Amino acid sequence: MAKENEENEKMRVEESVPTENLPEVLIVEILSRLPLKSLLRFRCVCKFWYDPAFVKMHLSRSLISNSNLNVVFRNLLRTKLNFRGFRVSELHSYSDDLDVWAQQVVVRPNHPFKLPHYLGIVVGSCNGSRCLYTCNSKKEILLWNPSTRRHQKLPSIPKEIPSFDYNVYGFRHDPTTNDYKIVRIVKLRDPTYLCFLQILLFIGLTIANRYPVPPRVLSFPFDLQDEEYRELPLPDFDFVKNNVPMKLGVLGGQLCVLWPFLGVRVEVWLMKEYGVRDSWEKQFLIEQPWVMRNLNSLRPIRYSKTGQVIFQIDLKALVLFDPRRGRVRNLKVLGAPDYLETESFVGSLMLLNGKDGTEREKWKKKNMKQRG
Amino acid sequence: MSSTKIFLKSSDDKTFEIDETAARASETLKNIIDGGCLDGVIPLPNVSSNILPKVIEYCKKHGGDNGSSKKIANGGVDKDKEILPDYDEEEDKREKVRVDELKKWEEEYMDFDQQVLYDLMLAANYLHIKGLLDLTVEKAASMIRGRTPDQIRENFNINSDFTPEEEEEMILIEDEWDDEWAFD
Repeated sequence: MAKENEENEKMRVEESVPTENLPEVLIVEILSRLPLKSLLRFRCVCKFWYDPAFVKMHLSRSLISNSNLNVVFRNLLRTKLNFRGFRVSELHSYSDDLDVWAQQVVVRPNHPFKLPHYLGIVVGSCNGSRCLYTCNSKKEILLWNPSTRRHQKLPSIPKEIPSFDYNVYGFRHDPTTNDYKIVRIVKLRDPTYLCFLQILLFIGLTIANRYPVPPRVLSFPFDLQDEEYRELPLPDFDFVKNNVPMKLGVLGGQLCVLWPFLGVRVEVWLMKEYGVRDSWEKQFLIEQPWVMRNLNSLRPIRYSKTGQVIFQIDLKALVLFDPRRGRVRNLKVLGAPDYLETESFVGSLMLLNGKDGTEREKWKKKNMKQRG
Repeated sequence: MSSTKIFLKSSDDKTFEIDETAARASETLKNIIDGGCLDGVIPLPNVSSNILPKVIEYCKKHGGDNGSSKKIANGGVDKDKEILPDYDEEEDKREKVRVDELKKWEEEYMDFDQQVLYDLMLAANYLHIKGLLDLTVEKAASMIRGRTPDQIRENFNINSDFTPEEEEEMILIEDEWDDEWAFD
């Protein structure tokens, strides 16, 4: 780190002649390797860096180079000192050296919700950084980009049903309408307790359609693009036929299934091409007994830069699995909450309407007054 | 293995020699070679004679493997490899030595000023040498990481098109971010 600073200093002194114009594509390439904090600082370089085309290019470069690894933690433990729900960490290391990982410091941005005391749920992230959260107390749904610290609130949708309970299950960006489709499962509070699936449009602001909830979600996942249940082909093996319980996840943008095999190992399968039965491939095995014991809580997060896999176990630990050696190691991140929920995202320059933390300022002042 | 020699001509009309195997580290050159359009000398009007030797040096070192010391995670393990091969301690050590040696070479190789870095990046982009492009881009990124927006504008020859008020507002938000760190 010291060396880097020294280098920076050196470059600053040497930098007398402005460089020839680099083509946009190379500037994007360079920016896609920058940590969040630099991206945030460079927001005011020029407006073009927020041009949708530029933002898109930057995002796709980050995805291709597998750089800009960031993880958002949701702290599950609410204490007086530790009230804020989300922390963002830049797992931006260029190596898989565990010492480097351990030094990764968690950044705590102002969360976009108005009240500091709240419970939020990470629904997911798509298009890189755009994470969506719901807030239980007010049932607000937001898009949030922790990189630019902007969020956008889903305005309240007219209630067509007098009383209901709902959970939000997923969302995606629809490039044809440039809108976000949000899926929620609604449960009526009347004696029928009827469940159905609802699609909300973020910008279009409508409750688009209702669908019945199918009995077997895995076999018939809901296609958000076409709004249809589709049959999902599963690999044709004994354990599929025998209905061995399994875990679903997403790894490297591909659908991933964790099969416990006779209680001795976990087989990780990936569907290389979505919807194609023959594209299911056994990617690797995990045989560590303690991983086996925690199978129910095992969740793939993402690949590290060198192709190791980050898993979350039991809301407590992040582990790094090396498929080449079949080893699992603990992954420590400085400042990460003790009980956590993890979601990975890619840093993006995407600006959303609302500025984060504006309400928190007021709260902070109030809090200081109380303390003093 | 003996290899056919290829001749490259820089923008300022100087000719350099490179082995065919080394030249294949560049997608662009590889396509020219495979396309059979090899007519003695390949002109490279976008690469000057002070950059071309650097490019050739890189290609020689990487002779067609087209990578850098970092393995790019391409969504998992090598398909052709057995799932979970027996872990070979010796091979792992050899691999580590190889990577360390390559890293050291890269470090020495990359010791030049910013103008050369950008020229080399442009050449790598033009010649489609992925490893070299990665290397130069990472270096450039590590150099600008700690800079101010003003320095960035100067660096990339960009004019600010924000009004002073807009800029002020953005800086305020950033200060708050820093404040956040201190507050914790």
